[in-house]
Amino acid sequence: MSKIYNEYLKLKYSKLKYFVYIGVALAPVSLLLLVVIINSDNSHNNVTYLEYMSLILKFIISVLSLTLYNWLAGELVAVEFRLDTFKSQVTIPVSRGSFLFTKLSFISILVVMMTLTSFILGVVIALVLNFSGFSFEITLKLLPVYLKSSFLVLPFTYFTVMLIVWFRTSLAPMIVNLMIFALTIVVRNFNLYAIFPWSAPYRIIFISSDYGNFTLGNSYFAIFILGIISMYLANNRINKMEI
Amino acid sequence: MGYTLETKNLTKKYGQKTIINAVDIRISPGEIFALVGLNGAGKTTTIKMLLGLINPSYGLIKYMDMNFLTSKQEILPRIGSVLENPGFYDHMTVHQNLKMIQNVVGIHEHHNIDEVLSIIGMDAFKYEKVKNLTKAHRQKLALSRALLNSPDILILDEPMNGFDPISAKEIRTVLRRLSKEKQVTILISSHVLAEVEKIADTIGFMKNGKMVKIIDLKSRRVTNVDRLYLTIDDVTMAKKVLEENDIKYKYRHSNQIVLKINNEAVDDILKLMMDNEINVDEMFFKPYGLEEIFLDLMEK
Repeated sequence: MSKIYNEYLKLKYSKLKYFVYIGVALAPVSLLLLVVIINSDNSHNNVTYLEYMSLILKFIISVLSLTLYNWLAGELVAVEFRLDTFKSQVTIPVSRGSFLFTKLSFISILVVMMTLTSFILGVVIALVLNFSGFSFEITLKLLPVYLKSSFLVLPFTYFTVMLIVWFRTSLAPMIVNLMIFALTIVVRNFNLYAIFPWSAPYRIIFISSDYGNFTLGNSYFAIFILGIISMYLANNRINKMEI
Repeated sequence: MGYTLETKNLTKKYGQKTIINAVDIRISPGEIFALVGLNGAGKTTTIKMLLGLINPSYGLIKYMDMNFLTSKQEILPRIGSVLENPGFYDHMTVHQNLKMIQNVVGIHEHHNIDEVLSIIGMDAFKYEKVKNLTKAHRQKLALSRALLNSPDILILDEPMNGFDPISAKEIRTVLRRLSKEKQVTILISSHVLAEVEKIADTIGFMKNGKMVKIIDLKSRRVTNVDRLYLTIDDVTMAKKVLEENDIKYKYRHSNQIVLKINNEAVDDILKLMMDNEINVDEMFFKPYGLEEIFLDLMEK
């Protein structure tokens, strides 16, 4: 726990925390603006509470998790190589495996907390602005969906951490992530969308029926495999790394 | 009595290239061992192997008779280290950086940080952000971090980098006190001999990845080999005679040559000069000091 607390302190005293705030507010606020624009057009029906919350989740799964969440996860690890603090931690000693486990645990907590905070912000906005169809019953049903989504996107961050550990810098991993982001848009037109790990969470949450030949189980498996392989490769690399 | 640190045949290879070649080091409890060599001699690589940051290709590292490679997690908490260009979280204060180390290593006495900062002379910077510190203060902070867990062994890679003479003296005093009063064993590396010869008990000279010479300063401050400076009238003849008799010399300038000999050999040299009708105008000895040993080793 003390190592996780250290990670919290590092984030608290770094400029990265502002990006965390932005990440939390971006989906509810930007989509609120979209809703305001749509609602001002009388030819359309007003956007309901459920639609608004659904838009937020779609934005988180298909945009934020592939960009900002990944970048934050990468930076939290890359900074240790950039500032040369990884070296000193290993000699304290923090075992290399423990270092990685702590980072992944903290990133997991951060991603879940950010998603849930976005959820709470969305609920508060909807409540204050009196969105049509708002109810606590729907809110309680949405909460586990948001929670599940946050868990489903965690392997993306593990993949980014693996890349950072391999490259020891954040530039190459971010280029890889941007390419993957572009690829998720390309595979949208193919059945592979269901088992491409970076698009599979969207399919699981929003398209629960079978997708081509692929079942929901296939989508879960693809995400699970991405997470496991990323953790294995990162652990393997960090233990053999010469510093 | 066993050694606090012992390496046998310590070797590091990258492909066919040997970076560290069969280095043997033995350091007794409370001893200050200085690793001296030019930049690129292999000091940092050796230290990184001693701290487990790099795995050796061959050889053995033992701390307090325990095999380092199999007992790293037991041994490392007893070592404090300062690496070249130590890293810190720049946006955090000196105290916050040290507090995080305390959180990890489990030393929760708050006063320990104050005590260490006071020993190193960093108390005034306790709440200063690391990004505002000078290079010398960062080095001092690194030393404070190394002392935080009251180590039995200190391994310091170029710890005086960026120090002004006063700070360097202060740190030398601290290190000497730790060694003599608390029996802390210290391995210190430097490319500046003058920096370490004032505190070291033993100096190991490294060159091209090899330990080329180890001098125990406790038993003798200088070697028994001195340099004899001869000013003579016929240098050409003298050089010829010395070469014929297989005596090594160095030609300095105009009519002066230098011989590396023992005291006892002086009579033989003078006789040789007289037999060959070479006039010796001036003759004097100069002790063969550490600096000369260092320069000689580096030139070879």
